[in-house]
Amino acid sequence: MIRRVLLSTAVFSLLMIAVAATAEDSYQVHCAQCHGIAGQGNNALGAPNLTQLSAPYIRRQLEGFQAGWRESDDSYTQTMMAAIAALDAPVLASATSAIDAFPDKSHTTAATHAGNKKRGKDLYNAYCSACHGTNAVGNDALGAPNLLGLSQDYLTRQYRHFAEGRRGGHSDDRYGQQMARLARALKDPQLIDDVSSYVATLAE
Amino acid sequence: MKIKLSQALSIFLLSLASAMAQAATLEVKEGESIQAALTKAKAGDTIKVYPGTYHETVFVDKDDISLIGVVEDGEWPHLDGEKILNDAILYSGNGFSVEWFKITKYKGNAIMGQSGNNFSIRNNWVIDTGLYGIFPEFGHNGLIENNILSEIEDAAIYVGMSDYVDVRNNQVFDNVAGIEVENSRHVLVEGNVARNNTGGILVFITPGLPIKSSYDAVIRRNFVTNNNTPNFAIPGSLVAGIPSGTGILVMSGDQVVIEDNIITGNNTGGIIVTSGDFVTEVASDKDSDPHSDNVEIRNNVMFDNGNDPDGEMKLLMLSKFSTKGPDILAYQSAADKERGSCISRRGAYRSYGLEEWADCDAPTVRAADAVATATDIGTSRQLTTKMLEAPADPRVITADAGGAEVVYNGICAGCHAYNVRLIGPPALVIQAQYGDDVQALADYVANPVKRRPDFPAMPPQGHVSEDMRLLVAEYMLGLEG
Ligand code: HEC
Ligand code: HEC
Repeated sequence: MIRRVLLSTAVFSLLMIAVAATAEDSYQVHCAQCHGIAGQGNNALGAPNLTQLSAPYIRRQLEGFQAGWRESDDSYTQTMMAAIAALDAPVLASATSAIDAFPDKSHTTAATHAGNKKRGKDLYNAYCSACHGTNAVGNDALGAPNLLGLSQDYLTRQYRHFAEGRRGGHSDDRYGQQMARLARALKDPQLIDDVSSYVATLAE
Repeated sequence: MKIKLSQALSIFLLSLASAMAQAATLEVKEGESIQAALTKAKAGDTIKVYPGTYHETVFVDKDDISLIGVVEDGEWPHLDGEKILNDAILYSGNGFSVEWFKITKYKGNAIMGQSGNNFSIRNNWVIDTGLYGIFPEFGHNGLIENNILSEIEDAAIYVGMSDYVDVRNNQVFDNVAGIEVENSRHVLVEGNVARNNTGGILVFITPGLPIKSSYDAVIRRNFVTNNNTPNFAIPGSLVAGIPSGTGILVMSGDQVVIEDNIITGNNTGGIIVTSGDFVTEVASDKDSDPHSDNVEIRNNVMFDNGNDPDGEMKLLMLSKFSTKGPDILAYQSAADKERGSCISRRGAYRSYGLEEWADCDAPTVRAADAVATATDIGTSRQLTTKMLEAPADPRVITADAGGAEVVYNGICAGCHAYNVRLIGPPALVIQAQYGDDVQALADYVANPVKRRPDFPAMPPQGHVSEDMRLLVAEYMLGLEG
């Protein structure tokens, strides 16, 4: 009798811990090895900082990776798709809320692409600020993500993908299509380095 | 004989027609609506507005309307937007004149012309009406005279994509830009006081607008003083790049005569002549020439300029071993000999970059004398106006792609350039957002939803017919620069 009571209390408290820890756990179990224990990203693995991204944006990207419209032949994208292919919706939802709870880390890592920051500023204001915001913090009403915490490597790679039709090409990808149309209007890699160098100064 | 008869007949018919269409005068008193009077009015009518406060936006789409304020005993008819309404007066009709209104607290414009020709805007008193004060856009042949404007976030008087315009005797102060001549041709800016703005008088090309040039401007006998107000334009927009302390700025303008002005106390510089990359390095409009050519600077009285140059100008001056800014600066390509610019009395000024400029022919006669004697002295001095002798043909808006282009130029291009950030998102961004969804854009334009916290709200354009909105949306989504 006593044993049974003890046992059931133990099970109960375990359950409580599981419920409390589940969001953090989903993240730590399924995402942390690439995106880092605090969501900060890992440039060497091509996994971006997630902390500054809004929950709606993250949810949409995860949906895209699973449904296939954020697919590309790029090996980083393939890695990410494989990593979450088998995960169900509740796990992804709880990982997303864990990410949401991490403190934002929007300082970019050391510059990896040299660029003309003054020209980058003019270009950014003309070509990007209307969607990503004057300070690059993003705009959920337009589906445009925060760009501040993204490494220059990741930012320029994604940008190139948009410009080359490797991202934002799918007809279900409403927001990606918008970004892709913009990227096709400004393609010069040097100019993109200028822009990303300027964005890095906004994060300082 | 036959010819004479038909002439007589047509004269008779004409006078009959004009007798039937006698112009009427309508009156509006406090408590009544100006727009209601306009709805009743016929082309050619005059509307008198008596003292009182009017909270409304007035649309004028008929031709030859005169909107005349009646000031009584110091009391003005007062259009008050309460920072709720976007515009006070929007006209697309030709032959429009507006006088004697006090206009305050709008969010967009006090008086905006949307492609109407032959306009006259006089004696208005404008305070804090948002982005622009008096803004004829895409109009031919007009007069802007004796107005007083302050506290405007972009340009107080903005001659935009317009030709044959006189801007005389106005006073502009406490604005970002005092008087702006932008992508406009044949403009006389004379006898104005431009003081305490961020920049006093600007002649320039904004790249990415439908009109690609700015030339033939005479800036004469103005008082351009103490334009040292910190730039309070919306961050990220083009005007936010104008350094505080700018007296006169010529950027990509050609054939600009700057003559007989008094230019003092502007802390960055008195006159700056430069190419397009001065405020933006995105000189990406292949159809417009970024250089300033054939600028003539004659006989201006200048002192006390450059006491404390702003931001990047300070660095530039330090690179020239000076902590002070100049009276006159020719910057970037504007300094080159092949630009064909000239200066008179060069020794009188502290200047940089004028080494390769020629000496102008010595001025010979005072402007007033020259006008009186009308002798040909080969300068602008005998010039009395840039307006046309006969009225320009009225602008007609046809219900087709051609009309859509006029509407786009007259309304939309006031805030949207192709790939430069003015007030609204560049057209190229709208294209990325909407793709080929013409209907969605046409619907948005009638009922805009604010989604960008760091941009002003887009004013609803429901007064443009649904068919025309579709045509304009299609035009915008197809623009190529
Ligand atoms: C095996 C490594 C790996 C794992 C595990 C992984 N990711 Fe990723 N993730 C990546 C890489 C690499 C990218 C970049 C994909 C690209 O470049 O297209 C990425 C991209 C993303 C993006 C898109 C970010 C953006 O700015 O568009 C999101 C969101 C994301 N991951 C969330 C998660 C979540 C949530 C998990 C756990 C449920 C997870 N990832 C697990 C490697 C991984
Ligand atoms: C028309 C609006 C719009 C404009 C203008 C725009 N973007 Fe985007 N951008 C978006 C949207 C929407 C997304 C999200 C696409 C998605 O959901 O996959 C995006 C995504 C991106 C991403 C991917 C970020 C990530 O975390 O994966 C980068 C990088 C980016 N934009 C850079 C830029 C740059 C640089 C400019 C200017 C040269 C620019 N964008 C202009 C709308 C825009």
